[in-house]
Amino acid sequence: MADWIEELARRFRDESDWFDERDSLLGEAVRLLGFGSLVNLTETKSALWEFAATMPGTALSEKRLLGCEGKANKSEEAVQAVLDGKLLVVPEAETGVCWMLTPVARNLERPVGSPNLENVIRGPAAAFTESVETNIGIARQYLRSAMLKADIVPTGGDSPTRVAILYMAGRADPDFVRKLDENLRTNKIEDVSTLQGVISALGYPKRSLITKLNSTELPSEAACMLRKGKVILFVDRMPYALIMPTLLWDLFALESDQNFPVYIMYGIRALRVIGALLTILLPALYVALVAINPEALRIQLALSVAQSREGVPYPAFLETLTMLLILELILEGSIRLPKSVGPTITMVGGIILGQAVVSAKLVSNLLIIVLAATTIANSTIAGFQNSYAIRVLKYVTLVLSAIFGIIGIFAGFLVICGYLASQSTYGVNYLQFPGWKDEARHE
Amino acid sequence: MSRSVHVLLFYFVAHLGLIFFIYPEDIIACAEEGHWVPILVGFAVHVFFLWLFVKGLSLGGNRDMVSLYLGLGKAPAVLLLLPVFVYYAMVDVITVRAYSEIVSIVFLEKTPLWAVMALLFLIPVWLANVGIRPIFYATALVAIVCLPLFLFIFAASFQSVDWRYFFPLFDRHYDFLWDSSFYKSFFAFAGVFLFLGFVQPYFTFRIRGLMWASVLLVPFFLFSVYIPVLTFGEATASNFHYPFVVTLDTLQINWLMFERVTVFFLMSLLTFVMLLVALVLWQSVELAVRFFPRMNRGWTLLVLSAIVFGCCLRIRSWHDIELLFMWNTWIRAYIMLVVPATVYWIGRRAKKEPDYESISTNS
Repeated sequence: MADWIEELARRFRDESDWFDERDSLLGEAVRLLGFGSLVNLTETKSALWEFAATMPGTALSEKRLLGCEGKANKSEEAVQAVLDGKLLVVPEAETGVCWMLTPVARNLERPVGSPNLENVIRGPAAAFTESVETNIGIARQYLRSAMLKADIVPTGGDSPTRVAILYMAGRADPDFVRKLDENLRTNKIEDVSTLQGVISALGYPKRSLITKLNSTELPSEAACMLRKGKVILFVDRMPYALIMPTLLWDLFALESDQNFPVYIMYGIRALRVIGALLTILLPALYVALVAINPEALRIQLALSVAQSREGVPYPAFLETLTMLLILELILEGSIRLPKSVGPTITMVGGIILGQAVVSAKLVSNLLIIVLAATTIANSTIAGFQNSYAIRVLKYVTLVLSAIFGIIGIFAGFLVICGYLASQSTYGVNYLQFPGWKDEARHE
Repeated sequence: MSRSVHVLLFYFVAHLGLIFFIYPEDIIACAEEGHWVPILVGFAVHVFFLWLFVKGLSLGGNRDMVSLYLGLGKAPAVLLLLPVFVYYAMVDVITVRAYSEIVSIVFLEKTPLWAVMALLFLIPVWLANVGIRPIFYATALVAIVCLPLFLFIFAASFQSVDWRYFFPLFDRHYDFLWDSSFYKSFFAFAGVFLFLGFVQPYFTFRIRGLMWASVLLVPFFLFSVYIPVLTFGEATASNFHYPFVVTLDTLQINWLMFERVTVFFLMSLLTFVMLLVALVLWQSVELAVRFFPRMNRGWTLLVLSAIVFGCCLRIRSWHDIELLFMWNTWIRAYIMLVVPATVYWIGRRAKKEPDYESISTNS
């Protein structure tokens, strides 16, 4: 037995779930090494015996090629294999030989279930899980095409995470795939267990409001994106597909919309566009019309707005900002709370916002309507991660409108457009129309 | 389709941004009747030289304007393009200053002018810093939201039109040709089209599409003048400063919650103008950097912006802007006539001389 195998056995000896058992396969003494928490040893053994007995050939060395994953030559290889849940088989007669087998694993994965974050009204209801292999399998089920390419790349520093790159050959831009692959392979620093890490690993600055990676839990959505020529990443232990490149249009269009009649689909998408616009414009419009340009309103309306603000002791901008802050707190709070307590917060929040604040004359009731509409409008956007960006961007228009009135809203809108237009993923502009090829690539 | 739509859209909306403010006033000032004649004459001149310009560009192998000129050698190129650079600086000053004035007249009386100018100028500076592609992409997004708003208010502005004011159809004297206001009105044409000479490596466009886009502009040129004339009559309209804006202020749309739709009309055009200023700034920086490659883009932009903003602050009154307009009439003529003609000439030459390609790429 080689030294490095001995050392390996010694290294993990103190772990409570480590096993180092002697067994005999076809009369040859072997040692089985691995983690009991990852490997189901009893079933693995019986499978091994059965396998060894039924395979042609007589000696173990002849048969090993049929069932082995490979041979470990170095300590690091063996360590990584063990950590990945492999079983090491070391024949005692030969020195320095260590086979790596895929054993019967303990069932640590949750089964393929229904999505938690995304609701499907009409459409398949399976969702991705934490395992990269399972996810690739699911993707293959939804997209039975020989063009579907899947490549698993380990990336990261101390604990390499496996990232799978999926794309349709012939549809996805080969240049894009190449850059993506290169960046992931050369990354030795960033830990990709969070999306911020993934984004840095892909070579992007972390300081961006717009997510470079759209995510979906739904295989049907992912398959559609693949068919459209996008690239999908599965990161181990992340139960969703990361879609690249992202476009603004992803905020408004979902694959499952196509399960509705065409005009209904247009209607739904138009609603989402209106939702995004209202989120950005409505609070700003309130501030601008109340504080700076009331003359733009019809006189009756201006009077009733003024009446609703009667007795409110501070400027419209502060009023809006405070209430927005409370709203953001409620949104954030209801995410953190367990499901059983969540409704309480909603109710308390509703009462605070809806009744008490107005009757205490702290804010105008028109503002409550405006903010409620804003929050509802914000949540129409497809993909929860996308709604954050819009939620933040509305403050740009709000601040500018507080200074410049209606012109500030338009200026803020222009700033937002400019900001969105300045975002791109490997040469694919964020505002590019879906399905249109960009004319010239300039990185 | 996808290849040229951003360019055409920019061409379209940038013109819209310029048409509705100073242009109607100039045209109404230069002719007492038959305004369509000066409008169409101006437009025909524009379209002809536009065609010459883009034809020259396409003959020159679809390269940008600067590399075409550089084919002549560095000194002649600098000399020929220096007026363009100066004109661009003036366009920035004039548009920022004039549009701030409009904003402050129409709805921000209490806000100091410098604050409005800072807003109208800082956003374009930032956009110019981001680059040409984001400007075009942002234009598309802005246009999707603002163009419908603009078209709606434009359509509504026909509300109190009296078509009899259309007559007399003809001007018997045609003395607009001797009126300086007529030449001032070319401001609406001259500021925009040169950007087509800069877009080449980033975007492409088709000449036919461009011609259609300019034809689409004709009704807007016509009605920007005719709506005030048809609403008030020539005699009244000629007294107004910004006649189209005044006409908008008379609009009554009963079923709308807003009293003054002018604000929204102005705002949508203002966003287009800001995009134009951004692109003009970007072009100025591009010109400077192409001739002097050692210059840093960011610093050049910063210095240029500081100078332009300083000039904006120095301008005290509307009278000074009018003066600036008069001064740059000659440069404007140069931009409108000489630049397209020389580009066409260089393009023709490039086509004839096969080795021209190598000269220009080396330089």
